Amino acid sequence: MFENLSDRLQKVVKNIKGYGKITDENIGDILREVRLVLLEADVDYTVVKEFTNKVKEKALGVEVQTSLKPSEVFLNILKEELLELLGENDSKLVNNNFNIVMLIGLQGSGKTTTVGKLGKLVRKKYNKKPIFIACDIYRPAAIDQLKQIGKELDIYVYSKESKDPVDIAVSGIKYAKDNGYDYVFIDTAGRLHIDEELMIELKNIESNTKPDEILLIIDSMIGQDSINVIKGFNDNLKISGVILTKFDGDTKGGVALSVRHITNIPIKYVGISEKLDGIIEFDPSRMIGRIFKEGDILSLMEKAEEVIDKEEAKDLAKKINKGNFNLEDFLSQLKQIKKLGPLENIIKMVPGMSKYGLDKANIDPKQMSHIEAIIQSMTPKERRNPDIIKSSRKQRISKGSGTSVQEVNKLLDQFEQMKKMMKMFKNGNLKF
Amino acid sequence: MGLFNKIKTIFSKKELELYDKGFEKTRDNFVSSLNNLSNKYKTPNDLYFDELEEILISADIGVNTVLGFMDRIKNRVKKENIDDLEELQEIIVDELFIIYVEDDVLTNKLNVNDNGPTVLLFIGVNGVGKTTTIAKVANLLKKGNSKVLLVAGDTFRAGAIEQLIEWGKRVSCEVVSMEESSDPSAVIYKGIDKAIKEQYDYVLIDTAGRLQNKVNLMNELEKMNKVIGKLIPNAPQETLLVIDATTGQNAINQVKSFKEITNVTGIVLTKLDGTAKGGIVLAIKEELKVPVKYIGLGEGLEDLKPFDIEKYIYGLFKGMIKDE
Repeated sequence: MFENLSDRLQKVVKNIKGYGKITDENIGDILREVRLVLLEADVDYTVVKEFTNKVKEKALGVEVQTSLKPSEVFLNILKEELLELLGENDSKLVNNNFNIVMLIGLQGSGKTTTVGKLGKLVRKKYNKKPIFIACDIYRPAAIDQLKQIGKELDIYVYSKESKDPVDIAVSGIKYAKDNGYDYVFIDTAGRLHIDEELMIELKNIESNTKPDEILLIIDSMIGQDSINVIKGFNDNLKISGVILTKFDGDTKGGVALSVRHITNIPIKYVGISEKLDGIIEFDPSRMIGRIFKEGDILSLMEKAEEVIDKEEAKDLAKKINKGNFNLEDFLSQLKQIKKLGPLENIIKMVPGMSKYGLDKANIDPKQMSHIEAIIQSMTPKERRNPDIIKSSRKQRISKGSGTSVQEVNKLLDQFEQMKKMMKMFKNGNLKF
Repeated sequence: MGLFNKIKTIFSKKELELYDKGFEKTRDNFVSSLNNLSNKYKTPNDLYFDELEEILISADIGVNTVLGFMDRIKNRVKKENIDDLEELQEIIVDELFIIYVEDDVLTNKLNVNDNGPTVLLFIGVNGVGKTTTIAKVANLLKKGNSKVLLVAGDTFRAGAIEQLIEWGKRVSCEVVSMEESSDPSAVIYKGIDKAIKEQYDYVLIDTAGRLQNKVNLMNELEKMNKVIGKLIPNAPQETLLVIDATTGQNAINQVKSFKEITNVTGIVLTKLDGTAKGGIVLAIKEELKVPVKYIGLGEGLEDLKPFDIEKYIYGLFKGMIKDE
């Protein structure tokens, strides 16, 4: 997310290091660069204009403070102004005794998948009993899709043979109330913001169900049309929040910088993988941290707390302390890490990684599964005591796991090194 | 306005009407902005150029494409001493046209296999409309009396297989599928094998949406290509990258990344009717030299059309042409 945006903005700031101070003359070049970067990121044109004007005003205004370097001054201004664009953190979802949330958006923006993700989220975070109502009667198999997601999550999906989405929504809500559900998600069909007939349908669903929250789902790759889309929907319905999907692509995500500023609608969540737990809260200041590659350790910790088994982690810590960390533990650790989602996403959240170019690492999940396969092809005795693995065992393991002896060797080497590092860690000799 | 009148005489009225309607949104925005510009300024000055640049960029014509374009326009204005804005508007349209036709003769014709089934592989990121596009293309091909087979290669997304099967029913095409989460290459093998044995003319393969930066999914695509090529040499004859027209600059990244992995032979641009910004067509052509083969101008089965640049330009600038 924000891929090139961060690279390019950092380059701009770096260039300023060459200037003694920011002047009327040289600021033109700097701003032209900033403007291009933002436009290429699909930030709305009018927002870009306003943004660069403000930055200019501020940058020329602070001349008096000479204690800071121009690049630092400029960086701070950029951060401040970007934060201003993103607004306050406002990502809470409604949380009453009974809640109705309606999801709307263009075709293909990811509504149905997002319904699944949010259902899982409110069940865990708010301790609710969610139910999904399938109102997309137009796209072939849309209801099947929601049902499959519901099945995977063990969340009930209400559907009904009817040609009227309003009727489906209303009877779904009645069903929810009668059966003790307390968090209703209405999945609606994708539609164009200019399709008047379908907009009336949405309004009818809204006036008959009175949702507490209407979420607009937007593909984060959207271009300059984003503002028309958002306004088109918002003119018809009172949108309470936006969810940006597919943020794990290499999109520059400019829409994130335009939405709040133009419409004052907060971005609540962003979708970051195809998995059903691939959704994170949108926190403006953390996002700025990501743009400038300062990492996002808070989100990483939250994510880790969600998925990692605490007991297992304690056991592991004990083992490391005693110095008897073995391949079995390594395997269980790998599995825990996998739960955190794609490795490249994790790495990006670790502060300082961009310095080593690690943020651009493309990690093939297959390599992780190779490692898993290798360890799983070992006998329990071998896992606990890797020293006994000599050539004939290596051959057996490589065959069993469908890898090569070299790969087995590599893994054993890496494991040895890891153990050494852990020892140093324990003895306090490891310096970062 | 020679170019437009030429276009107008080439095409039938009905054909033009569809483009006309499909591009209504784009045009209203684009043309009225350009016209306003000409009314606002007397001569082409810096402010005029700034605003022109703004209009082009907000039409999602790629930033690089626009910058190059602006340089050319400014040069011509200087060289040819142009100070009449109406004349300049003509030049603008002309130059936009040149971007698209530059370098090579573009064809929207499908590359077909003369000995056996022609394989069309549909790829793209999530949610662009691959499955729906396949149904529409199948419908077009069936109208030409071809025997068409659909292959449900998206075994990943919930409901994708059912969606294609449902479309298969609507366009009366047989669909080859396996259960969810099977290896897509296995389904493809089964499909192509059937197509060869039963002498189908076309095989249309659906694939799961994949974001272009996901290494493993891109590798999977490579594997599919190998399976296809083994059964029919030189297949797939067409690898069509489906792109959502509301996508901004990321569309260029999408084409670039997919091109690195597989031989993208053409683009299908969907949902053009909903956006005010068809400009990405020009950026893709200029930066990446991949032709647009089909465009989606509406939700109906019939609303997918072979892309035609002249009609596109006509659709885009109709409001600027004075009826003579």
